Formats: sequence, C-alpha cells, structure tokens
Amino acid sequence: MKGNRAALRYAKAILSLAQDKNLTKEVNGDMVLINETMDKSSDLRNFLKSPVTKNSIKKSALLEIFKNVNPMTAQLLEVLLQNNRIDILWLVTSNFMDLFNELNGVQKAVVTTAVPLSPAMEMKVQRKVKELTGNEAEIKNFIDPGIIGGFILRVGDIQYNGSVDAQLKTLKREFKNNTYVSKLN
Amino acid sequence: MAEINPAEVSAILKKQLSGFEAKASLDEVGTVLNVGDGIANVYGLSNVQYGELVEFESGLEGIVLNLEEDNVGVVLLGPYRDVKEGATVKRTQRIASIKVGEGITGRVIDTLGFPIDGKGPIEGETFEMPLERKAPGVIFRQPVTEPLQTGIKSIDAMVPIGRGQRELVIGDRQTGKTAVVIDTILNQKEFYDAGEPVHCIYVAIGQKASTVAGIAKMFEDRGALAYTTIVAANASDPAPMQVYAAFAGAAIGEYFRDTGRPALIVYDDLSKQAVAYREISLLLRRPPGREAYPGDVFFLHSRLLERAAKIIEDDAIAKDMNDLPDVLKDKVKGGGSLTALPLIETQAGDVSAYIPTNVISITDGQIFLTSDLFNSGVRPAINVGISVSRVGGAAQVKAMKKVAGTLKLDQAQYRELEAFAKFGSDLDPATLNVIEKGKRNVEILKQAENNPYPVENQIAIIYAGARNLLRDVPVDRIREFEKDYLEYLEAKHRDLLDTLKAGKLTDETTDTLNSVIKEVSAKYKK
Repeated sequence: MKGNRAALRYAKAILSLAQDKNLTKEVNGDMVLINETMDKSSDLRNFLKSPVTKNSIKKSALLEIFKNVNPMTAQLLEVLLQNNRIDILWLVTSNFMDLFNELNGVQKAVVTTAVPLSPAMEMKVQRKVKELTGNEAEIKNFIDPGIIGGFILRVGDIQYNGSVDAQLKTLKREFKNNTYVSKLN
Repeated sequence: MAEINPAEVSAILKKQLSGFEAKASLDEVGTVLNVGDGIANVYGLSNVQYGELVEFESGLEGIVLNLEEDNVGVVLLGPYRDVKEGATVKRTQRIASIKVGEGITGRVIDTLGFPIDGKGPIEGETFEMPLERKAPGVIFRQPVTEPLQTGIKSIDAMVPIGRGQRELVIGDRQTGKTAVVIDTILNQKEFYDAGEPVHCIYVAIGQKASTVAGIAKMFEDRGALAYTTIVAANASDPAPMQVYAAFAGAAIGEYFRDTGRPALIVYDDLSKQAVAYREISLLLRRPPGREAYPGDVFFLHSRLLERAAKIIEDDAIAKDMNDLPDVLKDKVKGGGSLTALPLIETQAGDVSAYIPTNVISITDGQIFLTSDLFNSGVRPAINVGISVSRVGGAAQVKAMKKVAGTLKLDQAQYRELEAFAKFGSDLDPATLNVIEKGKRNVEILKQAENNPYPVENQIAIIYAGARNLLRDVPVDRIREFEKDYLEYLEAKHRDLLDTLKAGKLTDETTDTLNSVIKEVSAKYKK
C-alpha cells in the first residue's frame, strides 16, 4: 500500500474537478480503461515504475497507449509525471473508481463461497446487500473451498460471516477457554 | 489435577454446546496491512474509535491507538504469531475493560483480568470496569483525613500517608523500595482482622515471574493475600500489557473506591511502565521527545495517579460521580478512597531525570530511599531530609503527631552536626546532646523487613526517643531495649497501648510511659 495516501489525494482532486465539469462518467470510463490495461500488462506497470526510464519517454508512451482519453485524464497523467508520481497511477485509478462508486451509491461486494454462485443465488445476495447497506452492489464471486460451506459477504468495511468455517472456529474457541478442569478439582 | 469423571466431562461439554449459538454475525472489519513488533496497521475499520478493542481471527485482541487517514494502528495484547498480512480484523464496539468483583481479592491476574494463579475462574458477580476512566471531579472529593498506616516507623512518624493520597516511593535499585510497599500491604492485615479491610492491589510491571511468584507466596504465608489482588505483567509480556497493567490495577481500585471502601494500590514500578509506553509510542512512529519518551508520557502518569482519591462522604453527591460505568451506578457509596503508592527507580540517584521529575510533581509527596543509607545499615533507607508528605499531616494519628512533631527537625539537625562528630574533636555539651539523641533516634527508626509495627507501638518507642529518655541506653543496645520495652508494655499496660491507638496522649499516659522507660532502661545502664 505504499503511496496509497498520495494516490487517494490525486483521486479526490480529479474526481472533484470532474464533478465541477460534469465529466465524472467519462473520466471514470478512462480510469476503468487504464486500470484494466495495467491489470493485464505487467510490462506497463514495470515500465512506469522504472526509475531508469525518463519521464519524457513515459509521457509519450502513455499518450500513445491512452490516446483516446478525455483531456482531463490526459492532464492527470501530465501532472503525475511532473510530480514524479507516475508510479502510483494504478493506485490512483483504483482509488478513483472506489470514490466514484461511493458517490453513485454503488458498492463492490465480495462473496466468498465454497462452490461458485448460481445466478439465482446471486440475486439473493444482491437483495441481502441492499438490505444491509441500502446500496446497489457489484458482485464479485470468490471461491475458497476452505470455508467448507455457507458464505462470507463483504461490502466495504462490513462483513457478514455465515461460513461453516467461522462457526467451527467460534465453537473451538468456546471449548478452548473453558474452565471445566479447574471446576472438577 | 484431580481425576476427571467422564460423565461430568460430557455434562460440561453439553452445557457449553447448548450455550453456543450458530449465528452469523454482521461485523465491521478491516484488513491487516502489516504486523510486527507488537503493532499491526489495519486498512479499513473506518468507524473504529480511539481506544476500542478489535479482534483478530485467532481471537487475539488489540487496542486501537492510532487513527490515520488511511489506516489505523493497533497494539496487540498477546502473541501475534498467527496474525498475518491480509487477515481480517473485527470491531468489538467495546473499550478495553476488566471484569472486577469481590472474588478478585486473593487472586493473581494478568492485565486483561484473567487469573494466572491456576485457582480457576474469578468467582461471584463481576462488573466491567473500563481501564481508562476519568478521575473523579472536584466536587466528588474531600480532603484526606484518615491515616493509612504503613507500619514503618519512619514513614508513619515523619512522612505520614493519608487514605486517598498519592505518595511516591523513589530510589535507586536495591534500596528497598519494594520492601517498603510490601510491608505497607502486610500491615493492612490488622485492619482486615478487625473487619475493616483496606483492599490492596499490587501491580507488578516488568518484573521477573519468579519475583512475582515469591511475593504472592509471601502474602499467602502471612495471610495478606486474603485482602490483596496481584496484577502481573511480567517482563516477558508484550509492552502494551505492561502499560495497561497499571490501568487495570486502577480499575480494580476504583471498584472498591466507588463502593465506599478504602483501597491501596502499589505500582511497582512506573519507570518500567514508562519504558514500555515509550516502546509502543516509538513503534507507532509518534515523535520522540526528551529521553525518547513521547510527548504525552506526563499525561500517561498524571491521568493514572489522579484516579487515586478520597471520595466525599455524602452518598447522594457520590452517586452523581462523573464517568461512572453503568454497571456500578446503583452500587455507589461515598467515603471510599484509593491510595496510590507509585514506585520509581532512579539511575545513580538522579532525581532530575525526566520520569522522576514528572512523577514527583504529580504526587502529594515522596519517600526517598538512598543507597548510602542502605549500605550504612539504616534500613529502611529513608532519607528523611528530602522525603515529604504534602497532605498526610492532616491524617496523622493525634498522639503520633504530638510525639513525632519535632523528630524530623531533630534528625535534620543531627545530620548537619554528624560531620563534625566524625573529627572527634571537643564538642560542647549541647552539640554532644543533639548528636547522642540523633544516634539513638536513627537506631529507633531502623526496622527489619516484613515486620510492620502497630501504630501504638510506634508511638510508644518514638516517644522515648523524641523526648530523649534513652540517654542511659548505649546506642548499640537500643534495639534490644526496644524489644524489652514493647514486650513490657504489651504485658503490663495493654490499656495504655489502646489509648495510644485511639490517638490520645494524656498526662497520665506520659507519666506511665516515663516510669516504664526509666524502669526498663535502668537494666542497660553502664
């Protein structure tokens, strides 16, 4: 999470500027594009991180790759380059997406299950999230056979743990801090 | 361990299972960013509050001590081997607290209130007392009026301590600081036996486990454990446990204080607590100040010691006390007190170091122990010249006040003239008189370890010394005389001792004392 604090500040700044100019949707589209591109290309990530490559080269490369972006996004790239912060571009984009989702009442919900979710189940989860937070959610299914059964739903900082694994752990702990040995003495 | 009956085991297991609710919980969570040195940084937990307890997957708990823009700093209260990067952390919505009840006396517990003496769970009803609590405000207090008998002659005579006072015990290592406070706790047995116990709490911070075990054993053997609780955060415990041990002790003391009873708390010692706090602060990257202590180390000690107080007698006012935990609201009674005896270890007698000056300025006086005196055989090695009690005088037993009124001054004069006496030159009779009296008083004020004196005996022997009635007894036989004299009084004049205990010093009593001293000291005349 190195550089996250700075990334958050850049993300806040660009979002507020986009709001002023009513361009949030467009800028968000750019951010998603940049984020996805960087997700897929480790070459690009390493290239931007490299201290050996000159900023001017990074600039021309970035403008070439993302040539169809909104001028505001291009401006962000310029500013990041100027401030020697281009290495946190990835973090800026992900922070921006979080802030944008928060602004529009859309939340990311991560559902961990032992087996993949069926579409019907997904609807149920969708409803549960609405019930818990009052927001719409983008559902991401994560599969972990380690939880044995049930599901863990995580929306932002809220977690609903209905997994068999968690219940077993609670039970185990309950047995552990018992005092029956001393009671029998 | 006794043999376990299989039927009983399954019965207990069944009971435990029946209490288990397989319910999914809705929690506010965060993710561990990094962990190390007893500190974890957590991302998320956006609504967490300062000082709140958080729980890790393994059941380990931590206290939130840093709230930053994008992460929170948590100190871990236990072994953190199982905490991994990316693990979830839950809010508990509780602030750090300890379960206190009547059953806590006679037990050895850790900072979180769990018994570590192997005697099973704390019995009886318990109440959650918060570790951090605001000290009672001005209108809920009253001046110190009752004495807290330490059983140590030089303290009770010259630096008296009152119930509700905070008296610092300060000195180098190996000068008998712990011995002074242990004797004080032992001396409370008299009140326990009389049915008006002073509840004692001994907080051991950063000590060897063997030392704590030794002290617990000694208390048990002397019958002092019946009214004492030991809170132990040993040297091997994590730094947060050592810091909060003092607060846990204070929380126990507050339980007794707020239910209208006298309590005595000993912090052994606050220097180690400050060092543990420094460790945490530096790891949390708080800026270091003087001697690398953080800026709020003064506040750490002042808010702790301010909780020692004498509560107003009026129940109606006491009931409205500020910051009372809800569980205690209908149990509050006035007139309780919490006396604090913090210990500070100095390095080579340097009282002008940071922590000693801080604590000296917070407390209502100090008992200064010096290694010079200790090594010259004056034990307890209390340096009377610089030891003071700023409020205890009002609480001293009247008879003691009359008898020992001039003792401190006399001893100061003697110390000044003592240097001359060493040259052995010719001295005028007046000077010689001061020196001879001083020498005898020094002998009188010596006292063996774990041998507290009841107040009436103290008054009787100090009367003899302060009135210079022991001229005929050689200095090296003073202690022998003391023993004879007190045994004689106990056997023949118990009623006289009782009046002294009640605080009365009439002409009749002084006459009897004079004649007894004359009679006993005649034996020692050369």
